[in-house]
Amino acid sequence: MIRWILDTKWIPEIALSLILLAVFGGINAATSGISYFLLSIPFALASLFVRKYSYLTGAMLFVGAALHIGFSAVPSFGNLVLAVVAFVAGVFTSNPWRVINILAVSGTSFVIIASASNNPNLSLPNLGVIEFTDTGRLVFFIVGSILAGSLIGLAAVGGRLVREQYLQRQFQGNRKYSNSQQDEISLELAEQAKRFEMAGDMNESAVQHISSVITNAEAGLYTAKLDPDAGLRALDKVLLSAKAAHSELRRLYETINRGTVISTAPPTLESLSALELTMREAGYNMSITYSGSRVELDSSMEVAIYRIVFEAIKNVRQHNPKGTMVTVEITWFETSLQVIIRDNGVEVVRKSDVGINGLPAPYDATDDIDNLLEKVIGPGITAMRERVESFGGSLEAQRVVGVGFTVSALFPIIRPKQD
Amino acid sequence: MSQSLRIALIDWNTSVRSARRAILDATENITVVFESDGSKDQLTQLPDLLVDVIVIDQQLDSKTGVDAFLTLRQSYEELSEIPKAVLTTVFDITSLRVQALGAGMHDVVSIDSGPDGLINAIRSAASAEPVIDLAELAKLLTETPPIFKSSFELSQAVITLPVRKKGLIEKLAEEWPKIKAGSKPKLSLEQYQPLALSLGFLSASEFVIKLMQNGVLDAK
Repeated sequence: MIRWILDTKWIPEIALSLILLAVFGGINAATSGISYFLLSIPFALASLFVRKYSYLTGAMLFVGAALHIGFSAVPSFGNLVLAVVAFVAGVFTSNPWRVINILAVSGTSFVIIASASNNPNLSLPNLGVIEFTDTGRLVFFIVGSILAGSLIGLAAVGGRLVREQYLQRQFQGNRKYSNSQQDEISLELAEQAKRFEMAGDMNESAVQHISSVITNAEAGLYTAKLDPDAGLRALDKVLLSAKAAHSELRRLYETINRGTVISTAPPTLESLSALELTMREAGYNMSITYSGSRVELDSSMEVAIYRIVFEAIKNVRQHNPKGTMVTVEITWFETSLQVIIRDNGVEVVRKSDVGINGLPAPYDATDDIDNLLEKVIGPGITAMRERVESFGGSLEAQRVVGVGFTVSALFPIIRPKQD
Repeated sequence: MSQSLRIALIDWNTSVRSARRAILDATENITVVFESDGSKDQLTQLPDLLVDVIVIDQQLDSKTGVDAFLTLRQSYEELSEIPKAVLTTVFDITSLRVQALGAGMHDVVSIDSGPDGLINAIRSAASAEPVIDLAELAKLLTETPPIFKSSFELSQAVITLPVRKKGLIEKLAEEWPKIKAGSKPKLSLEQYQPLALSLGFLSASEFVIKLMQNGVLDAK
């Protein structure tokens, strides 16, 4: 039962029902006796199902109305709970059940008033009316119905108003967020377009310089047969054009890679410690462990390993809260090198999301099966996999139920033969 | 001793231009008599220099080599005075070749053709012999169909042609779809050279491309 409530997040509804029962049932008990407290229970329960299983709200109202007729109960202050139910239905229930339940509330109130107006013991001693005539009973029914209908209508409209205001605020918030996102994307696109344009110009310039290199080299070869000095002069020009082309290509490289880290040397396994520092500064814990007998790797493989770790921890930062622990394990085996990047992001979220029993949010076998069957896909994972596969290795990415995410890459290595 | 070919060298890239000049200067029977970066003021002098071949690069300061040649050709009073032109370019691109041939240029030489490619193109331009045959031209036009530009003057010129010459065009129109489909042509571009010149075109290639642009060759 508790699990059912936790899963379906019934806490607000249960609280509301209990409050309504305490307030209106309490008023009934105080003014009309304990039996009227019991009569208010179905109405309090009606509010329990306004959001989910809305048809049960109508059923509870029907039960409440039937009990009122059965016990020949007269209208009481506690019946004001019906207006609250109409309000709550207006806020939380979706059509068609919203209309049905508001009509059910109205119908219930009419039934209670009709039942009261036919009650032989009907009297209003406070107003000095001891006994009602038939006309009096009719007037009582009409006035009571109009009052009840107005109150319930007002409550339902009020509920709708609150809902609309909430949705409007949410919409405005979403729109602001969307606008800001759009602005960011537009800005980024404009930057990219500009960068692309610049790259085009630089490429054109580089092509011109390369053309110059080729033509001058050819001219040098061609003319050197007649005049060796002409060959040397052409060589000077070749050198100048080659240098200009090189500097243009350098600018092009920097323009294309702007926004990413450009280092003079490609990253190595030693560069991973810098990532550790960056993660700590961002509020994440990270540790790197090395085991096994290390061998010298090809620099391109070291770059690939660095990129994989970089991409994996970037994902950790994107999808997990601060405080998440990332462990990078680099293990040298006889013929392979394994890189495992684990995080405990899900566990951190779970621990922070404590249920009513004070325990972390639970998970069950379904979560296990889902995680086992789920195929992790995405451009980042694909890029990582392609990097590893280009070295003849393999990559596995998997969610670990209740804990987080693990990426495991296996690179084949060749150890030098020992004489 | 044969007469030396007078060359005009037009290229915006000074370094490339001077290298080409060095190559041409070192080549027998070729003399560079005019050098320019393609600016309009300099090009106006060209008709007075009696140049045999213009070597013009596609990338100039303010316009393309093809456009510069089209402007240049208008500054000559007689069709026979217009020198043959060789377009130099970084990459050999089919669409550019079609564009250049359609503009009446003799040939297109890319940078990877080397000095020999350039010199051969210049010599072939000077002798006015077509560097492309009808099958190759048909292939080029199949790969990059030219934009259709109807010319009333061309239509009129074709209509008023004597029956014999008109028959030559009809024969080409009949053969053209087969050539485009890959059949070996029974005709040659040389056959059309006199007709092209008589109709105010610089080369048979330009004439065929113009016929194609006017729908004469593809008319059912």
